Amino acid sequence: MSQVRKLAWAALAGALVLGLAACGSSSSISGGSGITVARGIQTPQTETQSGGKRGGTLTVLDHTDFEHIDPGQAYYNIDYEVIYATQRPLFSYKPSTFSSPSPDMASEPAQISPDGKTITVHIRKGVHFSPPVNREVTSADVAYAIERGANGNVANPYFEAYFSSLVGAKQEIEGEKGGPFPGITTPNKDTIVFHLSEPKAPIVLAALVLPLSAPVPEEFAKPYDAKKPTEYGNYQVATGPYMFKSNSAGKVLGIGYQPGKSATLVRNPNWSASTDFRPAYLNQIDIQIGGDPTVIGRQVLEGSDMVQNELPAQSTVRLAYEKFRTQLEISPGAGDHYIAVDNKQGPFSNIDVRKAFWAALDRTAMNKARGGELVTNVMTHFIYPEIPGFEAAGGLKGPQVDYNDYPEGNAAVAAKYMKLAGYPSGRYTGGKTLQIVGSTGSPSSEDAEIVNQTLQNLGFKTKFTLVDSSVMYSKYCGTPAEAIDVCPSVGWVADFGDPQAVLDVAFNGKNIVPSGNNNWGLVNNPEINKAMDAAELVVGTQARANAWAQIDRKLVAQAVAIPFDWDKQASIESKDVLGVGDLWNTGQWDYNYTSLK
Amino acid sequence: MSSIAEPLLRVEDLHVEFQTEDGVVKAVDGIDYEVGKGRTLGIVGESGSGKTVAALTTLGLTRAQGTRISGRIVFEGRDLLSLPEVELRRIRGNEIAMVFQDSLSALHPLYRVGAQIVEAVRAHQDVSKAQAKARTIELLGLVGIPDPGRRVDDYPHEFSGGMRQRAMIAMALANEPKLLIADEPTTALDVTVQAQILALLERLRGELGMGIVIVTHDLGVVAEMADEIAVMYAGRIVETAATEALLAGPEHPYTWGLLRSIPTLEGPRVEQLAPIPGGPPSLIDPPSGCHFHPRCAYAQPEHARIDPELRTIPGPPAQPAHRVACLLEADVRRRLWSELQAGREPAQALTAAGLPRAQATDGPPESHA
Amino acid sequence: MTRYIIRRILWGILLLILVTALMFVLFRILPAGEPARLRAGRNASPKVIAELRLDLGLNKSLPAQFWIYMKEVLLHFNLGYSYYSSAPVCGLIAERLGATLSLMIGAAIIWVATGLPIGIISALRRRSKLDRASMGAALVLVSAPEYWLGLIALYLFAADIGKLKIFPGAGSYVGLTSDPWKWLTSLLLPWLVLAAGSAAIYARVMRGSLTEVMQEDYIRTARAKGLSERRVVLRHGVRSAINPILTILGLDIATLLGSAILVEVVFNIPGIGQLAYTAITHADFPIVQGTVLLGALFIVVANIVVDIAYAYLDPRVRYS
Repeated sequence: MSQVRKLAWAALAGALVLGLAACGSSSSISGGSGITVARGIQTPQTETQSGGKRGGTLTVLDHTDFEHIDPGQAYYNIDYEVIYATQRPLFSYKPSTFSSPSPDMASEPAQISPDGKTITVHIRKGVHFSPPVNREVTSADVAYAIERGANGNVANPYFEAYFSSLVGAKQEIEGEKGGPFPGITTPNKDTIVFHLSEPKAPIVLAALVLPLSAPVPEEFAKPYDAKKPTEYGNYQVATGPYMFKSNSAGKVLGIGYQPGKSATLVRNPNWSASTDFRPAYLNQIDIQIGGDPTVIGRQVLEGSDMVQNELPAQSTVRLAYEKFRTQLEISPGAGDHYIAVDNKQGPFSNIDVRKAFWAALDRTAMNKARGGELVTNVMTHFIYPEIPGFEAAGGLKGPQVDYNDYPEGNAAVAAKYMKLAGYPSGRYTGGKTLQIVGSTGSPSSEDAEIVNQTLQNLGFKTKFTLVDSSVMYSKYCGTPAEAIDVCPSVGWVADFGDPQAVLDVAFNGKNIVPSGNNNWGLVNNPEINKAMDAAELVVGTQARANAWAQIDRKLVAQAVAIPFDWDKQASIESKDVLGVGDLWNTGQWDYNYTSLK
Repeated sequence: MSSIAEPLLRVEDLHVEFQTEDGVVKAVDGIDYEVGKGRTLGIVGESGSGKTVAALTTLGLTRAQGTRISGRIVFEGRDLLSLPEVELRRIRGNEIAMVFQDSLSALHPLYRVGAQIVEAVRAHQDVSKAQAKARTIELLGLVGIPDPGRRVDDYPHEFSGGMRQRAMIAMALANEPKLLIADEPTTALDVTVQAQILALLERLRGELGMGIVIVTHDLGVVAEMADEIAVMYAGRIVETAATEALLAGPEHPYTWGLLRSIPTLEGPRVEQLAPIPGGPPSLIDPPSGCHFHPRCAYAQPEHARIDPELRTIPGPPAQPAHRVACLLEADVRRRLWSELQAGREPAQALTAAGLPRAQATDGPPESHA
Repeated sequence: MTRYIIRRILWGILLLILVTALMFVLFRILPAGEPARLRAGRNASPKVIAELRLDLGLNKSLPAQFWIYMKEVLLHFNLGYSYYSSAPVCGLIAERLGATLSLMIGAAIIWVATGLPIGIISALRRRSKLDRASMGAALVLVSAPEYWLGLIALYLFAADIGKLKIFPGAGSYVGLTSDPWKWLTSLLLPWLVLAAGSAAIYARVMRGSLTEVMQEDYIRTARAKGLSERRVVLRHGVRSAINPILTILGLDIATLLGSAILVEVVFNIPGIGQLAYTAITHADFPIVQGTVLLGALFIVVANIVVDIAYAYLDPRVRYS
């Protein structure tokens, strides 16, 4: 699912990218809590959240438009910046954590039945919808919000992934009507109960941080949800501190949101601070859409009361690092990039060939193309920083196996594994030409070139193609029938802070589908599959962390894919903005906590 | 002098040189001539003789960077060459007007003919557009264009060649000039139209009392119309006389050549045209001595060294004086001419006149590219 | 003449149909194609994709789809709906047309007003310092890509990020009706950037054209009439020299839509160019199709207008 967020990043990375020289080597300090932080630069964990003044208008410069502002459809990071300021899901993360959600629309933590098949959540009292609905939120509103995810007109991308274990959900998905179903009940207006057909409560509970669980008033939304596709997003009401500016009938389109041009968030008059942990300092957020990323970067850094809330151009990050360091934020745990290789057929079905490739690859060079140590860490296993299980799976250094021990690549170790694979010369001598399909655009294309070169050095003949990233995903790497050997431009961002959200879809054999496939390497190891299915049912953050960490180690042992980059995302602000970024949302500025000096 | 009174136009020792990449072109190499009021002067020469440059220089139309002009052109007591551009503009199209050769390219293709004439009128007269247009229609009628009220709004390409030339003449006459310079006015026209245009010019001269200078390569044209003729060669005048005198007794071998190369309706049909061999000389590096000597059938060795001056021929004084620039003796020349007139070839005429056949050069020179 | 115009218009319509057909085919066969899959987005089930294909009419034969599209366009002015926002393409184009026209027409005026006089002066003073300087600058500006030029212009002159804070920065465009002064000042820098290359070209063309014309016989006649040099140059010289310019101008304005795209992106002007740019990066085909059709329409109309204007300007052409 989240690999498509990578899609958004690839597009956002833009045409004007200058490589950040790794000569900024003074920028790295490793060790400590396992997070590499550039010296003197703030992170979501170190930012002060006590805030500046109350009031004022923040100007946001985004060069790409939102994809969906309907909470039932939202999917990309860029959408989340407005969704999480206007909508309150059952649970949500505070800025500096990606692992422990706080009750939001819920009044207290959920209760899970001993058999793991029932989740009970109590709804917070005194939360009201914004005008024109105005009334108090009830459990029925949460139920409707989740049910509409199965409505074909809404088509929530997570419903099938995380909620299909609800009783009757599968029929819902088939029927596509989005009506009530047995899996969700509301015994009273303050309680909502989820009934599962399998003991998968942990993952369902974790998924309740998604915007899908933010309440939607059925009587108001139903007529819009009957349209194909739904128009509720253009008329939405809010429960968060802010709302899209709208007219008296509640229309947002053309007023609070002008597609391709601007969006305006104003205070939700019906929001009550006593019901919320969010401080909500700002009075208004003006979002301007469009323009050139490097120009935006300069405007933000040199101007006032502004932030950029997308991935900045590499030249902007460098400029900020050199001249405006206090205005730069770098957030760890922003996702990863790795190389998927075909485990099922072809040369890489041999584990030793995979290990040889892993050993041969210069991961440092790959990361240099992405901006160097300031915004990357060498990836050594598959759960990434800030996700529970990261440390147990090996932390920054990762499992100590010889093919993993050399971030700059090691030809001797690579040769060793090639020999083990049956190529005595240490180089591939078979007849197959490798199909490599990467993504155009910097820095994906540079990384793909390095991959191509590395494989040729191992003796492979390659057929190397670069296509637009959406085509790469939809047509080539996401279609098993195409049997692409190497996909060097894939990556992952977890939907929420649970290790299952990182590992399961990407590496569980049962998740291989004929189209729109996200298990690009066609990894299908029965032992690992079984372990994942079991780990899915484990309850408790720590226990789950350990269980999935073990799986991570197995994945490394099997060298199912070749990791190279743990992303840290940069964000920039003007000098008079006290920005607070969300660790759980790649460090993007959180309007609920950001203030002006 | 053509009359006791001051001539309308007097050109004195005019030199015009152009700076080009290949060198200095002496287009006009010291000429003098005069035009009297109401008189017609014909300037005859082949292309490259400098006749057009001389005409253009009268109106100051050859002024440019890299052009050196010296001498005097006196018009009504003022030296045109020393006048500033502003003064000259007052005279152009007003007191001195010019008619050009190719009326299709000489008229602006995108403006109506009437509008172009109106422009000429209003450049020098303070009249309204309506008045100028009325004058224009009058002028078109004057030059013999039928239905002038309708044709005034036509474009140049909608006129026939002859009509167009008449229109150009009308434009030149717009402000009743005292002097009209016509550069090859009939060359682009066929013979019958030619005759009409010349008759027109003659008539207008009589009606308006203008002086006319006709510049042409066609001796036949000026034979009818001109009172005096000046023959130019290589930037110089080589012979000048009253028309009858020139036609009756031409003195310069080049003039003989011109006369004998005119097809005439009279004369025996078996007579072959006798073109002048060779081509015009280079004006950057003209032949030494007499510039004509390489093409002259009668040249003597010393003619390659001595440059003849324009001198009055011996004989009873004439008005205007008959002058020629030739090194041959006058009586030798007359003998040669009578031989040629009797139908003899140049070679025979030479012998008959008692001249050696020796040529200063081997045959006629190649024409210079 | 009327028959000629009617013929040209009919040819123009045929051309537009051909362009639309070509795009239709291209979008369906390009690798990025598969509109249903793109519309369905991430991880859509085959069921959803199939349904979308039905909805979008993609299961019909290509000619059938084309016929339906053309019918919608010609009869209802319906250019389809965006794959992403479901907004009607026609509406999107209509609301952004004003900004793009402001940009294009303003730029055209500037480049004509600067390019022609420079060209005229250069023609009259060949090899002078002014001539050499302006032709040298022309060469640089013609070669410079607009995007780069736009960035440089912002980094030099924008009030927010430039070295010399003269012009409003990127993103400051407002509609003419909301604030005329702000509209004007926000367009100055984009106009200059868009006009720079063209002004240079026009200066060079005018220089060449006028130099040639000034050698013509009728210029000599005009001088012989005693007209002032200014009148000779402007009324006789430039009047002839300008004909080729006017024909290029019509076509240039039409193709300006393409150059406007990048300028709109750099300066963040909410015009059709920016719409097209975003649509292209998203593979939002209905919008791309709509904007290409609009561009083709501009060019066809400009061609016809130029032909008619030329006949009007040069009376010799009328009879051919």
